[in-house]
Order: sequence, then C-alpha cells, then structure tokens
Amino acid sequence: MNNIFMLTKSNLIKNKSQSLSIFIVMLLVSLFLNIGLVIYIDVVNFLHTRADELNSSHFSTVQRKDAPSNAQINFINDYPDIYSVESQSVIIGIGSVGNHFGGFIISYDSPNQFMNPMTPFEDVFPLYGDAIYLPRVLFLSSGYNLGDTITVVLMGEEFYFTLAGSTEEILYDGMMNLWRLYIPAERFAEIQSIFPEYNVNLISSRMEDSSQISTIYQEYRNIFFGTEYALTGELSRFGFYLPITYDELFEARSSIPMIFSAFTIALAIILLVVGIIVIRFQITNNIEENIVNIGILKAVGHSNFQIILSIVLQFVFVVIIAAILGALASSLLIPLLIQIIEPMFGLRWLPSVNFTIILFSIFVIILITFVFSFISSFKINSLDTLVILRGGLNSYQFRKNIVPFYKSKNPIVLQMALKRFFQNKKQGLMISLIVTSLTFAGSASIATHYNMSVNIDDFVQMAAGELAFINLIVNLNDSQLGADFYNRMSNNSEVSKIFGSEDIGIFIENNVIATTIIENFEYLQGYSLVYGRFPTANNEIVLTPLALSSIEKEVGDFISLRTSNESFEFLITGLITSSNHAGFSGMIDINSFLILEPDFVFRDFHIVLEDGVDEEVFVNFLYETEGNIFFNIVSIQNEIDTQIASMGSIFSLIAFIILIVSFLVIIMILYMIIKITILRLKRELGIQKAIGFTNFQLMNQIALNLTPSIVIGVLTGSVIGYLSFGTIFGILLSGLGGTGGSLEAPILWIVMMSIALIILSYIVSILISWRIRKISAYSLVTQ
Amino acid sequence: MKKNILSTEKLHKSFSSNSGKQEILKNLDIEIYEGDFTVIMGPSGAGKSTLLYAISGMDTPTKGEINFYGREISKLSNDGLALFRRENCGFIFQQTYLLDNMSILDNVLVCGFLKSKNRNEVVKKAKKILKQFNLSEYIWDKFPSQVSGGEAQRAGIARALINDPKIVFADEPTGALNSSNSKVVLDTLSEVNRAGQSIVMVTHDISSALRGNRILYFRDGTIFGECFLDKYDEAKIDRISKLKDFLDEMGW
Repeated sequence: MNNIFMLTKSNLIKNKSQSLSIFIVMLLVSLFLNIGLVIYIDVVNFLHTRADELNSSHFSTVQRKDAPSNAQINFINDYPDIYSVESQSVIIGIGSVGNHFGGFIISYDSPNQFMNPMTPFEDVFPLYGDAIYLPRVLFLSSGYNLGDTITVVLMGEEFYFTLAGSTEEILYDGMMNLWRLYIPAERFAEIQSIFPEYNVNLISSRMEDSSQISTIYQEYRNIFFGTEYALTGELSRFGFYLPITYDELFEARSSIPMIFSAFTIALAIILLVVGIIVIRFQITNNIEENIVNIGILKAVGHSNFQIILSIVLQFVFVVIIAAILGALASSLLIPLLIQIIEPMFGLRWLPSVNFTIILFSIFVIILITFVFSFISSFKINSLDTLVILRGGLNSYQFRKNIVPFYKSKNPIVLQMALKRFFQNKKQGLMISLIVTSLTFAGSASIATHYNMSVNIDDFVQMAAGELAFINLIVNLNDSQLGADFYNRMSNNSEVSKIFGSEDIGIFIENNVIATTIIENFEYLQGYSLVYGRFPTANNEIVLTPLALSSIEKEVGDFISLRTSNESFEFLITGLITSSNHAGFSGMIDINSFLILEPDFVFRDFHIVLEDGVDEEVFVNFLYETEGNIFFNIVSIQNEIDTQIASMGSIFSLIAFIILIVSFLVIIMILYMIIKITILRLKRELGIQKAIGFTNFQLMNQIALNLTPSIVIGVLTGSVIGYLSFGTIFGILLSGLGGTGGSLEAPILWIVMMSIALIILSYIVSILISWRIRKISAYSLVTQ
Repeated sequence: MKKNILSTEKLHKSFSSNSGKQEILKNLDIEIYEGDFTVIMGPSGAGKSTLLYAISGMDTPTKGEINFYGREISKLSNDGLALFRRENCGFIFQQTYLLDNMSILDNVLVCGFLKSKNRNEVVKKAKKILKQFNLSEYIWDKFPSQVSGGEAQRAGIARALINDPKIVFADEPTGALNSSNSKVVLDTLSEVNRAGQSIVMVTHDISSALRGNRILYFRDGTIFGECFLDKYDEAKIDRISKLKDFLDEMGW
C-alpha cells in the first residue's frame, strides 16, 4: 500500500496544475450540490418543523355564529384523523392593507389560541391602543415601518392603526390572499360591534396523518358547500379563501425555493459531468505521456491494479479535499441565501449545518470520481510491458495524412490547426462535450433571465394563464347591477373587452367543484387548456386533472352536474390547469350554466383595457363613477408585476451565477488544455519556431486548433438549450401552478451569447498561449 | 574575394545556474563566407551547438553583435528572428525534428508555404527536391515515424532547402545515423554546397568534417584555430591528412 501512496504522491506532485483544475471544478460541484440539497431538504424540513413548533392548523374553516347547528365543528371533531380542534372568535371580511387586497381575519391575542398563537418577531411594540401586528410577509413587502399609521379597509370601512410589529403565520400570511391581523382586544370589540355579522368562529384543526388533508377538504366542501351553513350575503365571497389547508400553503411556499434548488442541483450535475470528462481526459493524457514510466513500473513488479489505484487515488484525494472544502463553503453561504429566502416565508429560520446532506454529497462526488477514474485507467490492463518499453506505443498513432498541405488552399496556420484538430478527435470531443454542457447551462440561464426580468409576457401567461391578459377583475355588490355595468363598460372607449367570469361551486358527480362560469370561451387565450378542447356546445365542461381524478372520470366521459335547481349530463372535452381551489376546479360557459341555473346573472367581470390606458387612472375613474356598485376591484397586472418582480430578481440572480460559473469553467478548462498542449507539443512548437513561425502564428494555431471543438460545443449547447428550455422550465414551474403555455428562449440573446463565448474562448486561448513567447526556439528544441 | 554572409563582434553568451555563471562564448569574432561549407569542431561540451544557435538567430547572445550581410540581427525581437530565419536560414538538426503529425511532404511544404505565396510552385519544388534526395513518392504521405532515420534526415535537409536559404545550419546532422545513412546525408550536403549553398555545420565526426572547406576549431569559448581545405572531392585523400594534422595541432 505504501508503494501505491508513493506513486500517488509522485503523480500529484507532477500534475499540480491539472489537479488544480479538477479541484476547482469539484469544489464548485460540492458547493452547488450542497446548497441545492440543503435548500431543498431544509425548506421541506423547516416548513414542517416550524409549522409543528407553532402548532399550526392543518385544516381551517369558519362557522357562522348563527349557523343552524354545530355540524361543521362536529364534522371536524369526529373526522378520524383529527386529534385537536379549537375555535376562536374572529372578524372576517374582504378588504385591503396598502396594495394588498384579499381576505382578512382580524384577531386578538387570545390566551385560548393554541394553534399558531400570536408569535411576534422581536421588533415589536406592545399590542395596545391603536397598535396592529401584520403577518411578517405583509409587513416586509408593504414597505411600512414600525410606528407608521396604516389604513385597513374592511368591507368598505376604513380603520386606522399604528404599525407595532409582525407575526409568524403559517396559513394566513397572504400566500393564498388571506391575512390574519392582530389588534388589541378593545379595538376588536369595537369592530365587532360595527360588523356583528362578520364575527365568526375560526375553526382550526390538526391531523395525525397529514396525507388526509386533501380528503377532509373535499369531504367538507361536499357536505357544507352551498348549504345553509355557507357564508351568506357580502361574506359569501369569503368562501373563496376558506376552508384552507396546510397542504396548499406548503405547496405555494416551497415552490420557489424548490425551483431555486433544482437550478442549483442541475448546475452541480452539469459541473460534475464536466469534472468527470476532465478527469478522463487527464488520465488518458497522463497514460500517453507516461507510458514509458508505466512500462518501467510494470517491469519492476508493480501490478496493474497498483498502478491503476495510484492514478485513481491521485484524483480521489484531490476530489475529497475539494468536496470537503466545497461543503464547508456552502455551509458559510447557505445562511446568506436563507436570509434572501426568509422574507418569502416570514418565519424564523435558524439555519443549521446538515451533516447528513454534507456527508451524502461528499460521498456521492467521491464515489462517482472513483468509479469513472477507475474505468478511465482500466486501459493500463491491456498494455503490454515489453511493447511499451520497446517504444512500440507512441502517443501519436498517426495513420492517415488528414488534410494534406498540397491539396489545401487554407492559410497555413489554419491548415496546421485543422490538421491537429482532426488528429486529436478525442480531445476535441471532450472539449465539445464540456462546452456543450456549459453552453446549455448558459443558454438556459440567459433564457431564464430574459423571460423573468426582460420580456415577462410569456412567463406571465404561463404562470397566470388566462389572467395574464386581464387588467381588472371587478366584483359588483349585486348581480342585478351587472347588465348596466356591462353596457357602460362596453361603451367606454378605454375598455377593449369586458366579459363575465365567476366562480361557482357545482356538484359534479356528488363532489363540489369550484367551477368558473365564463361568458364565452372565445374570450380566453387558451393558455389554461393542456389537453383536448374548450367546450363549444351547451353541455360540455373542462376540468383540472385533480378534479377529474376525484370523480374517477376521463376526458370524453359524461358526468352529471347539479346545482340546487337542476341536474344535467355534461361531456368532458378537455383538461385545464389551475392552482385555484387547491387544484380542484372546472370551467363551463354561461349558456351551459343557464341550463342548471336559469336565473344566473354575472356579478363578476374581467376587464381588458385598450393599449396605452393607464390602469391606475382607470381604476380611480371606476372608483369615482361606479364606486357605489362594487365592493372590489383587483388590478391583476399590478399583482402580477409585484409577484413576478420578486420571483424575477431571484431567478435572475441564479441565472447570473450559472452564466458566470459556466464562463469561468470554460476559461479554466481552456487554460488546462492549452497548458497541457504546450507542454505536450513543446518540441513541435520549438521546431515551428525554428523554421520561422512567429509567436502570433503559433498562438493562433493553438487557438484555432481548439476553435472547431468550441464552436461545435457552443452550437450544440445553445441549440439544445434553445429547444429544451421551454419544456424544462415548464416542468420546474409546474410547482408554481403554471397554467400551460410555453416559454421561448430568446434566440437573438442566445446567438449573441454563443458568439461572445466563441470570441471570448478565442481571445482567452490566445492570451493563455501567450506564454509561448517567453520560450526561445533554441530552448524549445533542446528541451 | 569571398563575400561575408555572417559575422560576429565580441559575441558573448553565458548561462546562469546554481553553480554560478558559465561563460560559453567569450568575445567571439567570427566571419562566415558565401558558398563555404564551414565546419565547427571542438571537444564535447565546448559550446559548438550554442555557437551555432547563437549565430543562426535561434538563440539570443548575452552581449555582442551578429551581422547578417551587414545588418545587425542580434537586437531583433523573437518574432523578428523568426522572420529572419524564415527568410534566410535552413536548419538541419541531429534529431531530425520533423513535425511528427505531418507527412514527409507536408513537413517540407509547411516551411515553403511559410515564405512563398505561390503554393503550386512550392509543391513542385518540394517534390523535385525530395526526388533529388532519393525520397520516392511512396514515402511522401508517410509520417516521420514510418520512415528510416536516413530518409527522415534527408527530408529534414529538403525542408531546410525548400526556401533557397542564404545559409544552412546543420547541428550534428549524422549524429543519430548509421554509417550508410550518414554517407547519404553528407553526400547530399556536399552536393548542395557544390551548387553554391553556404553551409555551417557543427560536428565532432572527422568524416563529416572532411566535407567542409573551412574548419574552425572551437575551444574555451573562442575560435582556437582555423584550417582551409579544398572543396570536397572524394578522390583527394590528402584532405584527410591535412585535417588530421590540424586537429592534432589543436589537441583533438
């Protein structure tokens, strides 16, 4: 064994700079793999752990104070997997805080609240007088400072508070447009007296088996939706927000960090592939260069296994150190990354070092290195000692005179570069593979940045689906006002389009499924449709995959739709995607719904403004002219812009890191290859200098020799990146409730990146080859 | 009166090493004449090759001047020297130093293409020279590792001559060859010298030195003695004794 270590040590000393390139690549692999895995696993662990620490509810709903009976709380209490239930008196309503519009739960610090009790962050003033605590996410994104006076609009009434702090919320942090605000008990009583009808019991429950959360959600809706237990009057709209489940929140909260970690792990895998290719190249090169030494070692009695192991261990040692240092570096970086991610959660996150992940990632990297370097060194077995020692094995086994000079019209430097390129196909293939991998990563990152920060229309379509083309959603107080409002808006020159669109709960095969009633499918862009077609006849429906599986039907089947009035058979014509209502939803047109509910009139409308119309000015105009007939206007584009901007900055950061890493690794690989090339071709370069080649000609020759491989790699990588970006990103975004559509990679940007990469590689190759100038022809020849 | 091609003035070359500074060329003044076959001899390790590479622009002197047809080349940059060598010099090395990833023909052409733009002319000329040196078409497409040492060295001479250099520098051109191959190579050199080609050759082999018409004995960093012979003629055996007497006098 000592012999092996001696050989390994000698290999390491001899190949210091080669080992350095492996070290850097593998350090980056370990760094990114650890970051990706830790973020991925810690997000899951952290959310579950923090939810458990805060004793968060798994399933929550509200029960009216004047409900006919305690059937709702009894149902929850009696549900097999529920082990804890509590009820709190709260005020609910639709309203806004700053730019944030949605459902609000007003609460106070009750000693009887054990599920996610009020848990303020450190930076708080006492909850006293006009004080108010906002959920941490709302606090951070609203731009308010402690001590600021803020206005809470609730069911059209304005209330003024002084911002005193923020709280940790699992369910009511605004992720599902539902927030919980804490105010002093006295103010609570005051608002309660103003809105006695909005005072309800918030029922929270925890389950033994969290996999049953979606079951209780669906069963609860099937029993209570549309019954005398439902919220009525102006509160009926609050039914959009409740019941709410921990599953929905977990999915929504974890999706962005999951995508972040997916990107990082993908980069680590690409770099690992690069590292393995480089190791293979170095081993093959070292065997060729040291073939005589290997022959001598064999001759003096070393076994093939000992020689192979000495080569393998050389790389394994380097990779062990790189992997450990990469993991340590990731441990330093992860807390900084978590600081970036933490505001999205609004929860206290104290990152800890995850030794299991670190050991796992180090083990995986070492194992892969060991296996591939062992396979790469295996050819030593087939080398015959005598043949080696007699010089029978030449590094350069030239057999065919490729691109002979007398047939060529190319400039001589290009001709010589081409000759060497064709004679070093294996090296060329290696460079092409490495450049392909990294260009693919670069293309994908550029396309990500482009779609998330520059031209976000396609991404918005993908993430927001049909809403991407809507400017405003207007909810009227009374459906009877709908026809006149529709006419006025239709005649308004600033309105391009107005159509009714309203979510209604419908019994589909005995399951209540939130179904969007749409005035006309022709008004939609079709981005939500993923399979089949939109309805064209009056008895057709499209459903989400979850809704479809819940009723155990397929596209093409007939199903029964029922409201309180009628039941009718509908044909399922297609599949749509939607993240609304926990993914259980469907869509039919107004004519179909009128068969079930002949008296139905829209009270919710989607408005598309003419190009160039200022959305904010138009909303103000609506408030002034129509303010008394609606209780809510949602500026969709404004909401989309806010959300996309926050996601865009994170994705652009990742994209930038990937791009920089890709470029740096390409430069490093070029450095390694050119250095090896110069060492290997020192004699040839010396001869060329002697016969009159200038330094610049030789530098050009080296750069041009690498250029075909780089061009092939860049073209392949960018074409793969361009063609596959939409699909890959679509899969990643499916976690965000992407609603179909597709993202396109910006071809011009990718072409520009490719050209830049080729030019940069050429310039870098020239600069690295610059070292040739220091060596005189004489020393090159005599060495 | 022979025309001076190359001359040095107080040429000095030294190397620094761990054991101190080692002076190889000491204030050397030397002149090389057009049409001569100049042979540099001397004991092993005297610095013959260093002298050859210094005056040929392959290496730069520590001090002193080198003039080529009166133009100083010792101050030229690396690239300037490369252009100088391309335009004016041909080199023949002990190891053939052919580019081993190129065929025999390509090895000759690469040198020719460097200087001349008329490629067809260069190809014709290269083939003619190769044939002239008994290198048949059969081996033109072969790689250096696939031909004999003698063939490779003759290809090296062909490469050295393809650009009609004003001077050819040869460093022990037969050092790695057997006697029959050595004779072929030396015959080739004698033949081109008879045609007017100036040659400077370093050797420690008397039979090789006999091909020259001017013998310089180099020792202790300077030219220790000089001997003139007639142009090589195999029949004239008195050259041998004259050279031997000279070398005995030099302490060979």
